[in-house]
Amino acid sequence: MSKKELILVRRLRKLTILASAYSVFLGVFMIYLVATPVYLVEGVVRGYVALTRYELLFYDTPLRCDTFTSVSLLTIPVLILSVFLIFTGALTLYLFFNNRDFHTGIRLIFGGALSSQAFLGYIFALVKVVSTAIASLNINLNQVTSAGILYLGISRVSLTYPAGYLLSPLTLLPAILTYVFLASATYLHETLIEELKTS
Amino acid sequence: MKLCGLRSAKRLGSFSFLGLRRGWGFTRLASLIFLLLVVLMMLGRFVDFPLSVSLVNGYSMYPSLKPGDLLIGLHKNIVGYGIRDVVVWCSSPTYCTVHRVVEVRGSYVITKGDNNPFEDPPIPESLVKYKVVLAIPSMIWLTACFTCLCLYLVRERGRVVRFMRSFRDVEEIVLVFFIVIGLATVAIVPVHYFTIESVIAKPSMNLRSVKILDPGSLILVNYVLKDLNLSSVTGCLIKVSDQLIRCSAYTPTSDRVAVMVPPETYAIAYEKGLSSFDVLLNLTLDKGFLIGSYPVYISWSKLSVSVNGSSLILSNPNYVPINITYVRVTYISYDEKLGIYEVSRVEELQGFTVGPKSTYVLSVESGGHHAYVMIKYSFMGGEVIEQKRIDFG
Repeated sequence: MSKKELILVRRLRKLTILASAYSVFLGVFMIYLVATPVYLVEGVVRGYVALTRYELLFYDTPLRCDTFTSVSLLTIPVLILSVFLIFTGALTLYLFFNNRDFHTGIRLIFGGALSSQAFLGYIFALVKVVSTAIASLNINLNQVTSAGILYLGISRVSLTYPAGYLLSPLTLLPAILTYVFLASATYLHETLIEELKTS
Repeated sequence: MKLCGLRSAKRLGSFSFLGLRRGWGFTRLASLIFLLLVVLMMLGRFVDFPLSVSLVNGYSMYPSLKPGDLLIGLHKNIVGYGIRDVVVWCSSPTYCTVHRVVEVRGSYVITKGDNNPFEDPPIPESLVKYKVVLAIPSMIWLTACFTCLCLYLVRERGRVVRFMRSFRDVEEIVLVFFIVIGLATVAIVPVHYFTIESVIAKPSMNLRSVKILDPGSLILVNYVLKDLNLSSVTGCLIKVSDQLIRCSAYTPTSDRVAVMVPPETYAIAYEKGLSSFDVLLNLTLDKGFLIGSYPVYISWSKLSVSVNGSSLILSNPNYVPINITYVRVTYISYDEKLGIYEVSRVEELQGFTVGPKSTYVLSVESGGHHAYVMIKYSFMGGEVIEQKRIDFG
C-alpha cells in the first residue's frame, strides 16, 4: 500500500466513523423534531401541534384540523428517511468495528445525505403549512354584546423550547449540510481508494 | 369442449392492445391503470383535467367521507354542480378541500364540511374544480391496488430486477426511492384549507329583554345564548341615582336571571323622581363570565280612581305604596218639599295606604241621595286632590 493510499485509508476510517455517527445523530434529531410538539396552544384552545401529531381541545372538546392531519401524513416520508439514516449509520458502524466490508454502508449514507438535502425544502414546506394554519388558533373570544362584556378568554400560540426553535432553516440547514459534507467526503475517499486499488 | 376452451384461451393470449404482449396483458393493464391514477391525482390539482382522483384525509366530511376514501371527480364544466353536491375546490395546487355546497351566491360558493359546525368562508366560483361523482372506500381501493402491485411484482420480477440494476450505484437507488416516496405522498395527500371559524362554534350571548314582574319585587333578565350556559350569579347591585343597593339574584333557567329587587329601590327612585335605575350583574358562565349593566325603565302615574256602586276603587299603577292622607265623604240629601239638595252629613275618614300595583276598595255607607268622596295624597312631591260622586240609587 502506497503512502498516499495509506493516508486516504486513515482518513476514510475517521470519516466513516464521523459520517456514520452523524447519520445516527441526524436521524434521531429529525425524529425528535418531527415528533416533538413544535407549537403550544394555551387558553380557550389548548394543546400542542407536532408535525406528526396534534392534540387540540376547545373547551375540553377535541378539535379536528384537517391541515394538521395532512401534515402528519406528509411527514411519513421524513420519518422513513430518519429511520433509514439511523439504520444505515448504525449498520456502517457495526460493519466498521467488526472489520467487515463497510463500503455499501458508505454508499447508503451518501444516498441518505443526498435524500436529506432533497427533503430539506420539503420539511420547510411542512413547517410553513403548520405555521400558517396555527396562526388561526390565535383567537380572542372576548366580546362586547348587548348582554354586556363577555369574557370568554383568548388562546395564544407559542413556540416550544427547544424543538420549536430548532425546527428552523437556521439549525436544520447547517445540520443537513454538515451531513452532506461528511457523507460526500467519505464517499469521495472511498471512490478514490477504489480507483487506486484498480489502477 | 375442453379443446374448444384451450383454443379460446390461446386466442385471448394472443390479444394485443396498446402494445401489450401476449400473456402480459392483465398485469400491464393493471400497472398502467395504477400509474394513470397516480398521474391523474397529481394533474387534477395542478391543471384543469376532465377527471380527477383525490384522497380524503381528515374528518370534516365524516361520516359521508372517511379518511382514506378515494374520490373520483368530474370537471365542473362537464357535469356542473349544485347545492348538496360534494365538490373539490383548490385555493392553490397544494391547498384543496372536499366539502359540500350549501349555497351559491352569485359568483361565490359557500361550502361546508358535513362534520364541521360552520360553513367555510365564501369562495369564488372559479376555485371550484370538480364535482365528486364516486367515492371508493379505502378498504376496496387499497386492496385492489395492493393486489395489482403484487401481481405486477410477481409477473414482472425480471423487469424489476433489470430496472434496479440499471442504476449504477446503490446511492442512486436510495435517492430515487426517497424522491418517489416524497412525490407520491405530495400527490395523494392534499393539504386542506383551514379556518378556525369553520371548526369551532364561537360562543355568544345577547340580551333579549328586561322585564319587571308585578308587583315589582322581581326583574327577569332574559338572554339569547349560543353555545353558552348560565352557571350562577356572583354579583348583583342596583344603582339608583348615585346609590348602590345590594340585591340577590338566581338563575331559574339556563338563559335567564331573576333579580330580587329590594323595596327601597323604587322608594328612592320615586323620591328623586327618577324614571330608571340600573341592574348590575356579574354572571358566571360555563365558558367564562359576563359583566352586564341593564337599565330598567319605570313610569310614575297618579292613582286611578273610579266608582263601582257605592264603593270607590283606587288603583295604584306604581311600584311604591301611595298614602292617602285625607278622606272626606260629603253626604247630600234631596229635600222633596223644597226641591233642593242639601249637605246632610260630612265624614272624615282615616287615611290608608294603597299598596304597589294593587287596588284598594273604599266602601262608603249609604246615606242620602248621593255623596262626594274627596281624597288627598302626595305624588312626586306635590299634593293631588281627587273627588268622585257616588249615587245611592
